[in-house]
Amino acid sequence: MCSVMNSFENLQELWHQDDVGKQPLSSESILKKAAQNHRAIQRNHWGTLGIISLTIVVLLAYFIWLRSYSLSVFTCGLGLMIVSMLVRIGLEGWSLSKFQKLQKDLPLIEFSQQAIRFYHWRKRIHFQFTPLLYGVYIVGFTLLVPTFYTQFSSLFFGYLLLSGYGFLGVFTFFLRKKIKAEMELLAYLKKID
Amino acid sequence: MDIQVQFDHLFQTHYPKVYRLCKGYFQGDHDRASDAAQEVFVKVWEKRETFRKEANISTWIYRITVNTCLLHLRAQNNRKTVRTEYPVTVPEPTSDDAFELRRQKMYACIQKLDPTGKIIILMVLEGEEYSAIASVIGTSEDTLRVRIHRIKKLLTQCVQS
Repeated sequence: MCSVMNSFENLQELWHQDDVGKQPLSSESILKKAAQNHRAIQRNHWGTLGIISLTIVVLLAYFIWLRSYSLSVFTCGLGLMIVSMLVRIGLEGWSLSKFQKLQKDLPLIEFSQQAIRFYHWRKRIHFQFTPLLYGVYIVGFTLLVPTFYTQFSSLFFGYLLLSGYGFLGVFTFFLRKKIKAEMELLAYLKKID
Repeated sequence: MDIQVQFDHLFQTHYPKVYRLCKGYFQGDHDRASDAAQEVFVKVWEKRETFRKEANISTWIYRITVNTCLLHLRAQNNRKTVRTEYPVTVPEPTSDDAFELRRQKMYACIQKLDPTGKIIILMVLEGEEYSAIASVIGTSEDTLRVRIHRIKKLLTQCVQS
């Protein structure tokens, strides 16, 4: 039986014996399902951006509410936090736009070069801009702590500390997985020649 | 011809090829192949103005297919790995399972090729012309011919082992 597998022609025969599985009945059904998937991805993306934007709105609301107290330190801290988040949102939006502009109908080698440039750009975001933005966020939040300490009960103060720094922890957890996948893809793309 | 009718014809004609290529690329993973094939046709639809002007529509669809599969790697870590290994001792085939087993072995051997070699051999298995494959990869036909010879040898040796 092994001899059946010996020639490439047999492999080709085997290849063509593969059915297409659960093929949709029409182009309409596949486009409908694909459009749903696309919308789900978009919802997920905009949902993430929405959460970050909402956080900024809440921070701005705090700023408006508390601006009469310890204005300089508080303003500075809040300003740093807002700037770090706005820059992060801007970078994600820019990345999404760049990704959507990748031309998938190019020849493989040309396309992979284009994709490599894109993932190098992502690498810069992950390893240069993101740590910097983390730093700015931490400094900003730390500057708010004295005001929080004087303005809120010890229980709420504890909650603010936990959520403020904890936010970074949660964000880092999800970001780490994404970075790993992207860097693996970049390494794979570099093997294309 | 109405664009939707044209698209439907395109879909019916090319879906099996696109699906098989994706399935080979993702080591026989039906779900991931279906997702990728779907994405390919969405892209084709989105670029419908382009495909109306394309002289060689098959090559154009293949380019979208290989590039889509390439970036589908992004989601790989979030999914369960499917059939990454095949049994070292192949049992005597007595039913349809034997076919499936051999196909899985072929998929596993394809995964061992370098990324470009993997895509090339998937199109060779499909029976595409070398000129079309060269156009999809973006290399010369002469270079490709040498490469295909080497890849075929590697693949058949692996499947026999």
